[in-house]
Amino acid sequence: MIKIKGVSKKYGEKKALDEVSFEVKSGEIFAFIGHNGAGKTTLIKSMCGILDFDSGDILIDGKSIKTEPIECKKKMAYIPDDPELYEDMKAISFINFVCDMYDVPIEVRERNIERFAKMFGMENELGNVIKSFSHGMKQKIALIAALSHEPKILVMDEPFVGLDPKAIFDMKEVMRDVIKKGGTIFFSTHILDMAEKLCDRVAIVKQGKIVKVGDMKEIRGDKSLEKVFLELEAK
Amino acid sequence: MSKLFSLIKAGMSEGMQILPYRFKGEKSRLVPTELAILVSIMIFMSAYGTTLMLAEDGMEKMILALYVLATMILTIMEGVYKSGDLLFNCKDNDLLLSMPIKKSTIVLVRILKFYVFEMLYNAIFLVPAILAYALNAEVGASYVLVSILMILLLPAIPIAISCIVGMISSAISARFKQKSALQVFLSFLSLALLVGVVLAVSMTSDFDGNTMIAVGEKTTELYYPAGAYVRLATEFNWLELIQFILINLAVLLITVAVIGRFYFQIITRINVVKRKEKAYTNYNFKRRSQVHAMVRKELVKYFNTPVLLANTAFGLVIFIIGVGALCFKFDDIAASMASEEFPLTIDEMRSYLPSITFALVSFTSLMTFITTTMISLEGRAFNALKSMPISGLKVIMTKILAAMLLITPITALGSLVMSVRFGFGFLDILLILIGVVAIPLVTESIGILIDLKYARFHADSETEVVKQSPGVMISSFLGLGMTVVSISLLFMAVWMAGQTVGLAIMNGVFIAIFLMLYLAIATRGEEKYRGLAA
Repeated sequence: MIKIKGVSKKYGEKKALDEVSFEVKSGEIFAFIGHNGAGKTTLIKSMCGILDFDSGDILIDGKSIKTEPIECKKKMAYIPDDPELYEDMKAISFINFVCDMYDVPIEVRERNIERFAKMFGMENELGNVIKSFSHGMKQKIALIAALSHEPKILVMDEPFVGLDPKAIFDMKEVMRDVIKKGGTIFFSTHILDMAEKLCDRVAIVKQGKIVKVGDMKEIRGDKSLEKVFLELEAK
Repeated sequence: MSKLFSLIKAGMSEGMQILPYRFKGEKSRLVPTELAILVSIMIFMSAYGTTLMLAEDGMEKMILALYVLATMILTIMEGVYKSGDLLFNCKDNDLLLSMPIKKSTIVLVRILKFYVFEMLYNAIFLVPAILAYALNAEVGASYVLVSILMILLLPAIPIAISCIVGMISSAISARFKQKSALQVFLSFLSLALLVGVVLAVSMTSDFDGNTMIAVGEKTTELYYPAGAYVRLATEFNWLELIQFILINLAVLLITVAVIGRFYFQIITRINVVKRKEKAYTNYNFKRRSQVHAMVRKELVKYFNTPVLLANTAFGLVIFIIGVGALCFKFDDIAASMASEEFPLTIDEMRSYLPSITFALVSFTSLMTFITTTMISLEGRAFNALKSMPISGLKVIMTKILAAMLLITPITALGSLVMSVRFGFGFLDILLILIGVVAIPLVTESIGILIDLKYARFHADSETEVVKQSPGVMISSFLGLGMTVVSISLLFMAVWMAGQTVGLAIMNGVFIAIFLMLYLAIATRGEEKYRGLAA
């Protein structure tokens, strides 16, 4: 579903991504882990067509994000780590705006908004302007907006940051639900415990290079993911 | 002291790319200096001419008073409605307040940041006047010293006034729900009061003889810095110089102390957001096209950003006043202009009203750059927008379309009112209406290209984006230059080829420029958009 082929990206002299290659299959929950500044956000932004990269290619369902960005974006939803949304809009207007961008039929958006707003406990808040919300509430609005257009691929940068325990639980349920419907989830995280329990496969990035990629069970063997990660970091 | 310097350096670097933190070998990125120099040269030519006229009466020194007055008015006009936001509505408030720094130090840094920007802005106007005087009078080394000190210190009083007004309006508006709109309204009210005071002074003054000299003399009499500068420039005196420096510094320090005293209470109030549970049960779901949804989003942003609204309404307000004055007072205006020296009779002036209407439309459209901040104001939400399935070109064009929807209804309506009131011919009406669309298409296309080049997604506040970004400075100067050039070209074309042909030529020029700009947007603009990320 997602194919990353030799992607490199430099910021000045610093290599943020160095020949990164791996694949995410359909129906997988894929975790992308690494230290701060390892290149996680750069890769996620490149995948979503937010950042240009210097070389290589990223294929989304067989289509290149470089040459067919619109077609690729139609299949994806991106949830940033810091959900800075259109602060002056009412939450419901923002979600409706996102649905307009993805050309979602009215009945689909109504059904999904109702479902996810209830799930995240936001049904009585959607009439408020976004700037009145806390970080966690904004994160939930970004999630509802992303899920309301039923994306095939959910790309999330640190999705659990700022969410309350109930929302984290619901979020995991949503992720499983997306997978059940044939979707794919790619997310970065620092919460290794969560990645270990949730994900089918994992990639570990260090200073822009992939140092390990594969099935979760294979990668950790009889150790914890945390231990594997720390050993790789120490090398 | 080092803590204070670090804070100032951080503020300057963050806000204006002045004193930036750089890696070794990294080139500095200055504000558009070249454009500022160009504007200064134009101002110098005007100042030099005025000094020659004043020198005929032996009053060349009044050029200094006149330019000090002009910069003071400009600084206060700019300052009163941006100081509140620049002082109290900064994103780094929480960070700085959590540090072991005195509140008055934070205030001092905020004011200094504002001060440096205004000082640079003032220098564009003051340096040409200082040079013009130096070339027309005998000046020594003391004049250079005094002038440098003047450039450094003259913003003190206008900024103190602006900051105090900003503080009062922020303190009042912080108590209400529509804080930012009320703040802009109160700032405008204060500005209107100041204008009222200036008008009252000028009406009670006896301006016989040379008006410029009379205004200059009144300025030196009533506005201490202007008086002190003129005295020091003509007759240097150490005591007066020291007194001048101390007075300005004292004003600045008192301002810092007063604002520091109330700083914490005001920002605490500003940050309080009242929210009640509000469901969306009655929300009317509509499926809109991408263009429609984007334009709606842009309009919501525009009307919820009072500083942008106020900043871009200037040209439109002048247009409405101009149309109103011409419709109701044309005969009086024409009669006051008609004299032996003026080449046109009242009837001839009336016959040129279609051109005058076109000139008014040009002025309004060329002075109103709404798109210059539309990309920057996306802030970090720009990343979310870029991840959506909408092309860069479509995003850019919807921003231009939104700006057009804000400008053209007013200019079209005003032009139609003029056409009906004075009975313009069908062809002239059509040509004016083409101009109503073509001219803002040019300015808004330029505006978006400028913002694509100088986009600022991480400014401290929206006021900084709208009032203190390089892109806005470029568009203001460019607008001014384009207005002068296009109105001169218009009257030249009308004079040489007749009114209807002249208007058609101007429309042709604007349409041709827009087509070139569209090509630039579709190629370079789209490429720039792809390269941008918040």
